[in-house]
Amino acid sequence: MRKCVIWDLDNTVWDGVLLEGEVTPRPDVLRILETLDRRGIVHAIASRNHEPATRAALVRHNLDDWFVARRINWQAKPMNLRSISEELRLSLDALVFVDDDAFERAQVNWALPEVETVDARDVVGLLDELDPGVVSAEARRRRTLYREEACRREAAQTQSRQAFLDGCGMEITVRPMEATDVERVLELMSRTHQLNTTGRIFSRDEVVEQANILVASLRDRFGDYGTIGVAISEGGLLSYLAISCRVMGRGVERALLATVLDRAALLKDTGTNRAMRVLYQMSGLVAGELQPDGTQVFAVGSGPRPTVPSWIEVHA
Amino acid sequence: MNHADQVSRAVHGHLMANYLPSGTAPLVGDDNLFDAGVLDSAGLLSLLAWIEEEFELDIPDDHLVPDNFSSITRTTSYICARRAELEESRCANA
Repeated sequence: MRKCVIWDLDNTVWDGVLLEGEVTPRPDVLRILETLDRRGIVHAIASRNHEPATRAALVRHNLDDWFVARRINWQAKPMNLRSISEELRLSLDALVFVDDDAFERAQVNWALPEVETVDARDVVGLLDELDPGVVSAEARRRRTLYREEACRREAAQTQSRQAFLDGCGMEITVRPMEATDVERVLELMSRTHQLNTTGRIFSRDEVVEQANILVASLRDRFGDYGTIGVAISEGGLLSYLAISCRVMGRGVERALLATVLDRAALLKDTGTNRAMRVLYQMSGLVAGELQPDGTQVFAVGSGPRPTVPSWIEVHA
Repeated sequence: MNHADQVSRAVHGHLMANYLPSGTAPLVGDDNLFDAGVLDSAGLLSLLAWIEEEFELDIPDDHLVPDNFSSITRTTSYICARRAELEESRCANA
């Protein structure tokens, strides 16, 4: 699923070339920025330009706030796209790249075939293409969430890792799903691929009828992430666990596993969720036999149980 | 300098350069990388990809256990042992 549109600037977001004179933002692009933003799809910039002049122009035209990541430099666009995908923790196949220059698009197609490229003249098609259907409160706030994340990264630059994590004040709350959580649960289930233990697709009815669904939310001193995890625990077996990839890299998945795990947990290899196998095995769970349906039960072994990292407080 | 020292220094350098902001206190070989917040499951996945390429070996799923990867010391021992194992099977096949 495409989650981020990366825009060229000259003759794409705006008409004209900045270094040759004044530019005018395209009204059709403004409408797309706003509409997709409301749907939880974020925007970023990859522009070959002079950075200070470009930043000033973005602010002058009230464009700056729409973008969660910027690469304004003279490097090749594929390098900048890769670096944005790492910063936002999105896979390359979650990216769309818009540029008026056929050479730039071809270069991206060649170097990063997973990225979808769109001619700047054809951007109106993005409105139909990028429509996730389900739009949760988290989705509408996604741009803010990414911008808070950028503040966290800046804070991380000045401290040691452990001190930084300790100082983040991370708190996870785990509670049973309520009716108002259904949209977000469906969205997490459909958007989460890397940190998803089975990849099972649930219909709305199945979610509503499924007993024992737990939802987890995360906040820290920088802000509130909202609901970031879904777990289903039935008769001692953790049959489903999905965690937003936005919160990777800080021990959240280990904290959640330690909290919701009873005796065993289910895994089904989906081709994209090896991180969950790593999580189970590195947490000391012991793999059972691979079943004909591709599932595998991991049981709590004789060693220590998984523990919540010291820098995370869990309310359950 | 023996081979294990070279492997250990390479792993240490890679972690410092790619997993920690500059200026962070150096890691110690026996530190638990997960408890120290250096690695999580996704972080270990990218470390595995680097090890496989850098040391020309493959890491089967059932080797992904704390004994093999929870610290720089353990990771180093694993890499050396796995390389030796693959060397042997190559010789046996030759």
